[in-house]
Amino acid sequence: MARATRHCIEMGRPVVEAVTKDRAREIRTLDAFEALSDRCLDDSYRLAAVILRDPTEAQDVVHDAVLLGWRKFGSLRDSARFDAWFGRIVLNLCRDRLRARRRGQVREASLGAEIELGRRDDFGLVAQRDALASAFPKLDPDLQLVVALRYYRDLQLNGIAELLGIPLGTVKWRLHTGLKRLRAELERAGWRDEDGR
Amino acid sequence: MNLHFGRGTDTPDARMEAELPRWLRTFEPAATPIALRLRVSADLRAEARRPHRPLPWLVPALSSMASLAAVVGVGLILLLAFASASQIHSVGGPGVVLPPDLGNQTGSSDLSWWPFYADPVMVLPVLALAVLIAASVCLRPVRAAIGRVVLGKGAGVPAAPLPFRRPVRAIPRLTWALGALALATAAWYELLFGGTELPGIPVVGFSSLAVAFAVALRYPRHDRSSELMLLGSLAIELDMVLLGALETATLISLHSWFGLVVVVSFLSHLAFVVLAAGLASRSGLALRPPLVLALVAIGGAFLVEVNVSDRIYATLLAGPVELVLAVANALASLLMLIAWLTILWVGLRASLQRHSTWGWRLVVVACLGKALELAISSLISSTASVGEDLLLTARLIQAAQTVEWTFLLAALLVGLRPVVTAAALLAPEPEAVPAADEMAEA
Repeated sequence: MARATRHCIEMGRPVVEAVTKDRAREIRTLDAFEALSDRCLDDSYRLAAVILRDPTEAQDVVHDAVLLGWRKFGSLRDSARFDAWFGRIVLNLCRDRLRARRRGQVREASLGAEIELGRRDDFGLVAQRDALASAFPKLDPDLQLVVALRYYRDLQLNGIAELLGIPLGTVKWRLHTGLKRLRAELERAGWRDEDGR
Repeated sequence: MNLHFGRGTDTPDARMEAELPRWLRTFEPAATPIALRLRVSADLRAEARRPHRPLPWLVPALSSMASLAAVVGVGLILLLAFASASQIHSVGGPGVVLPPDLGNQTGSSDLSWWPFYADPVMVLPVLALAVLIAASVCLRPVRAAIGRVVLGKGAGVPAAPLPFRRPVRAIPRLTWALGALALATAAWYELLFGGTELPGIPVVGFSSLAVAFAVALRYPRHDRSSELMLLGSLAIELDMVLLGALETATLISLHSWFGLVVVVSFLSHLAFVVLAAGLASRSGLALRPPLVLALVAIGGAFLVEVNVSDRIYATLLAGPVELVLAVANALASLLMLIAWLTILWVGLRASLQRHSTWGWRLVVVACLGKALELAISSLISSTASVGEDLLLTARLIQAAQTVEWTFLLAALLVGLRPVVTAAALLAPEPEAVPAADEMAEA
């Protein structure tokens, strides 16, 4: 039972009044949450699309994150930290999706190369991006997250640690390991230098 | 040429790090689709209108408590099993069989029989084992594997039973082979144990192969539940054959013989767990018994098992090998009891469903037969029957086992239809895919 309803019953007031009060309070909360989440929506969608490399899945993740955030909104103590809190929900959902994708081996992302072909890049660059597109999904989801946050969001290591809620040392290790494995995968894929550099 | 990555301003490593942001940005969408905003807003409003779940903090708290309870519980179970199985008198040398002396065991306050009293260091390996097992249960992949294998998560709804009446040619050769094997094994057991005073052994030995035959006859072979049931019943039969061979073995020392019997029994119990998992997954119901009920059931099963194994192993002397084997056997029997409880739970739930069949009710009756067997076993251990009384109770146990296997077999033959959930019933049936030649004609 909501607090206002219980208070009204204890004070002997009509329950209808209490329910109306509860409802009004809920609507105010919902409006506040919607305003906050709407502010983060664009950023979250872009980040999820880059991490998952699939705009449709990114939409699903953002949708799920908003609903999950609403359910857990009561546990947020400081609304000033909403962005970081919501971002962590999005990142956790992205990680779950990446893990599920690895288990199912759904697809190998090669969209990047196709897009670059449309942008009239030279063949060497397209081949490099194609190699990246096949090597990057082979990294562990946790490593993918850190590398994406570092190189797409250009976040400092401290920022990544704060966003993911993990120690700084873990971020350093994941970034180092992620790049090392990416390099190994690219070497295995034979990333060729067409222009002789 | 292949690149060799190294450090430097224009090294391939630097170029890879320079290329990464550009490559990642190619996936950046231009703008958030308006459809996403509308969908999020509508679903958020709908979610807000839904009534709140009572006590939302309870589920995560219970989840944490369950993890903690798993760690503590497994440790306690192992410790108790070890302690109960080691309530053995330390008189004489290892391997010598003595008559049970239950009076001393139940009423004695002397701790000299307890191996931990003589050597407290023995607690450490047991605790280490408990921690290892509990830690493995807490690991996500292990839990996922248990969920997939035992609970059948992600396996989909099992297929309906095959029709009983069908052309003889439609019955696969495997089914005939299993039927013939069942008859041959029964005959062999009859030759082996026919003269003994415990005629129930051929029945039990025959039953597991008969179950395999019934599964092969009535259910599609490539169904997960059928595969599990076939595997479990054949493994049980193999263990029964091994036990039969051990019965006739005369060249093995008593010590080795006892060890082999316990190992084979352990495998047999594990095989029954596989069979039970197959049987339970035939219902298509998600196995989520209430936590309290599950804890009470497992605790009760454990107490029964400790009570029985306590009496059985009290006749042997305390040697490290016997103790380890006793713990293994107690745990395996506990697993088997949990498997029976699972079958009972699924049978009860499926029987109470609207579209249930008689097969599930027969499963419940088979479980009652198992309960009867357990009650008789407990009676033996509490009254410490000897001589003719012991033979009578052993025959009663065999009779109860015959009841449970017969009803299980009958249930399988009648047909255990998967209980379709309400959601599955409401879902539209998939349209039939036209055959290739029809498509070509079109």
